[in-house]
Amino acid sequence: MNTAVNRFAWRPRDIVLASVVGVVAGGLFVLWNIANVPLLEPLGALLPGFQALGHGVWLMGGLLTALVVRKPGAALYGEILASTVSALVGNQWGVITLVYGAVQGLGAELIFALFAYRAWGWIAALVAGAGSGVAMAALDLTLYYAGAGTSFMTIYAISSVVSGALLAGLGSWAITRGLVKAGALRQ
Amino acid sequence: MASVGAARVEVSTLSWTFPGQHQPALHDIDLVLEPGERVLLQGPSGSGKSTLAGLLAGVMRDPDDGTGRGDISVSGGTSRGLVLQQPENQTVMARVHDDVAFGLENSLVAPSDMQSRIDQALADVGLELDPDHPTRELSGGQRQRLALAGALAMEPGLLILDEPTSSLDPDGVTAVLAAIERVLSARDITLVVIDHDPSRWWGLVHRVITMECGHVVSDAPMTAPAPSLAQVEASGPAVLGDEVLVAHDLVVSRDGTSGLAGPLSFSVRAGEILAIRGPNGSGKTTLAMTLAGLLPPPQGSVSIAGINPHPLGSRELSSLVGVVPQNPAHCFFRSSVRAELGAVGAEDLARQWGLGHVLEHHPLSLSGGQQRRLALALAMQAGQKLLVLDEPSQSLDSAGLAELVRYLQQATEGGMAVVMATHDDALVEAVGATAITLDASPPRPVEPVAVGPLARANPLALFAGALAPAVALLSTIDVVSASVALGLMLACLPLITRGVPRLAIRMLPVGLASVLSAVTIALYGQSSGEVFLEWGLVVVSQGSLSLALATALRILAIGGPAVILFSQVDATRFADALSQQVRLPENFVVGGLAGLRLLEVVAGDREVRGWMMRARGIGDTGLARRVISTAFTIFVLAIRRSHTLAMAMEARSFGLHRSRTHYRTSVFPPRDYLWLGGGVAIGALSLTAALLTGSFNAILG
Repeated sequence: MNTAVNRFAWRPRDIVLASVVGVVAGGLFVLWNIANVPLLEPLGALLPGFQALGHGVWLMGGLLTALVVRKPGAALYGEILASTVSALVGNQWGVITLVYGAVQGLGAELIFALFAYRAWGWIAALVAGAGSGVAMAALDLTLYYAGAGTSFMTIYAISSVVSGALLAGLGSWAITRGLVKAGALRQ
Repeated sequence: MASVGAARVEVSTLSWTFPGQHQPALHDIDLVLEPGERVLLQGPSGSGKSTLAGLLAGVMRDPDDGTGRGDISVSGGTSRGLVLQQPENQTVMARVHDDVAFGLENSLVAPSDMQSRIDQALADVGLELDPDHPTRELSGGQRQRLALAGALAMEPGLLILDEPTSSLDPDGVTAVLAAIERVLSARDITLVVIDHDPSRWWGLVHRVITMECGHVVSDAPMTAPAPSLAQVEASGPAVLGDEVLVAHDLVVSRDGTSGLAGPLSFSVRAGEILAIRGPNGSGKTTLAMTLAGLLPPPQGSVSIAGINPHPLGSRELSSLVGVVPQNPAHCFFRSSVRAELGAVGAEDLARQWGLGHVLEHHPLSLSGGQQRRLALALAMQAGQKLLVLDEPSQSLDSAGLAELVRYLQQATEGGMAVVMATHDDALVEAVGATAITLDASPPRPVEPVAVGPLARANPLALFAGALAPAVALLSTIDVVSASVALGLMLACLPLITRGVPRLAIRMLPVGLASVLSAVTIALYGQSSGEVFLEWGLVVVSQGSLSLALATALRILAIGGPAVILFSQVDATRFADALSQQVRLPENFVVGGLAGLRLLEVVAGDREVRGWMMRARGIGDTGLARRVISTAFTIFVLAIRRSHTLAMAMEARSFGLHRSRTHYRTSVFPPRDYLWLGGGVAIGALSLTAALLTGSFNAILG
């Protein structure tokens, strides 16, 4: 009574799972939108560009969804959904949030595609997080910090990518392992 | 209405094994259900009832679900309806009629046929509400009838109900049973019900099939019920000790201000069990948590062994009171049973509570019964004086109930006073509890549906209206364009909304971000002109200050319109527009909506989690640790819930087709182009102003 499976095909339950993960990540975005300001922006005022070290949290929608669901498109979908939740609640970036979601999701998605959607371990997560971080830095620097100097831009870009790799990449990988251990996922 | 007719079900030599299990969950099942037959499936937990129900409903077709042998054929109506245990995990959409339409949309029913089927289904279950009534305002019993209506609208020939009443209060049970009775008389349908309380189904079903360890062990006509709790021996008169808990003129409140119940005065002695009874929303849980020192009483006093519990530190409180929440998962904070039980004596304790074999397992990975035992062990292990339980018997079968009664007796024999919020009369009787009953509180007013130009507009138009000026402003960084845009928006504001004060509050994060980004640019922006301050990397100059001002205004002008136009957009209408006008993949759009609705349910878990942290003695640990622990648990619970939700959605044909039909039509009338036009105009005017004054400062270049 079983049918053959295509590893890449989305089943209805994958869509539901990805949606729930994406929306929960959106809730995390909303919290971070508020918490980030007092926690990290002052860091930026003292050490220019370093505030981006906390921005990886906003990349977890794509990373978490991809690592949990393990399907092509999951990173893109999860990051867009999470950023939509963030925009619907309301935040300082307005509708541009959705643009960010799409671009950052794509950054992670491309890396998982380069791994042929076969690798979901910490290495793939680390690189995909960095890829997403590159996308985030490119947007931030053109849209918001165009008036900044070269040294600021360099530090900001590096911080973004490091944060993407560590917070979003390794962080999401660790959370996913925690979910498996807590019996929430079968992998 | 198309007449489909009841299904004939034939199951032959059906076996089923779950992945990673050696023992099959079902073993050579042979079964024939004639059209219109109504069957009750019973048996202890783990006997294979739900597995059989899932297979009959056709929701376990994936290889990940397990491997099977044998055959199931369902003739007559091809559609099968499935209603599961937890009502809040089965609601898909935010509005009542949308939720009933969900399955119809998935099975490509023509929109013109939908309304009559929705109305009929809701009439059959006795849930005639406003079409836009928010599903989050429904009680458990109403939600369960909504799930039933969602299944019925698809006109199934076979209806499968898996413990449909076991997580409901008595009113909910009555309403759901009445709805099922009405459905059975109105529709030609074959029915399979799973329930651990067969007495409820007397008169509704004809035949009882009993399962044990994956086998059918008996198959007989329904007989009149025997009193179901005879096997639980009632406790003898307990030996009561001193007064442990004293409540004096106590008023309880959820939010700390408006009184929900009271004033109440009572006391509970060591060895005594007090049951708090009353309808949903009467404040049972609130009273229980106030007695446990987790909520402050706005009036009156609580004392436990002479101590006022609420001002106590988390650690002291945890050694005075043990609390078991309705969902035991909420009281676990560590990553193994051993760690939860503590370093000393964990093995003995675990064995004593039947948890010896899962000592190293993650608490959240335990079965429901194991989680409940662990929660009880934690609430009683430290010599606490008072045990507080919230709905302890919810969804327990008779074996589980007997076990609970034993543990409660163990607690009272050990000299604890016990308080439990419950609507289970059988439990109250079995443990010989004294009871206080709370009155129903007046229903909360339902929030009015938003009106005005914003609520009428297509969300896409609002999105475009907010995006246009943002895109224009992003091309430059100067004071002129940002101020012109900001001024024009403020001028338009009275035309759009009257809720300006509330808007100001929603603008706060944007304002804060604006100021902080400006400070960053002032200190580290490209310097030019006169230099006012130089310190390390910090160079404050005329140029950096003017860039900072431009940055601040620009962020306000980009974030503002989105907050005004987009941030209160109705998610359902946005999704309608995304699937109908933008034509994004339908099933993903709907999946996102369902996820959003589930998050509302999960958000309620947060409050309980906060209480339990305090009750477990870790309420005074670092904020970061508490936030992370809560977020993780909520994530796990959300994923758990999503499994039920996915099953409920698949049972209503979710994902069967790539496309869907639409109950709600999303329109984009010509007047909505005004939003886009307005946005473009503001963007164009601000850029023109910047170019004319020569202040345009391209960000690329």
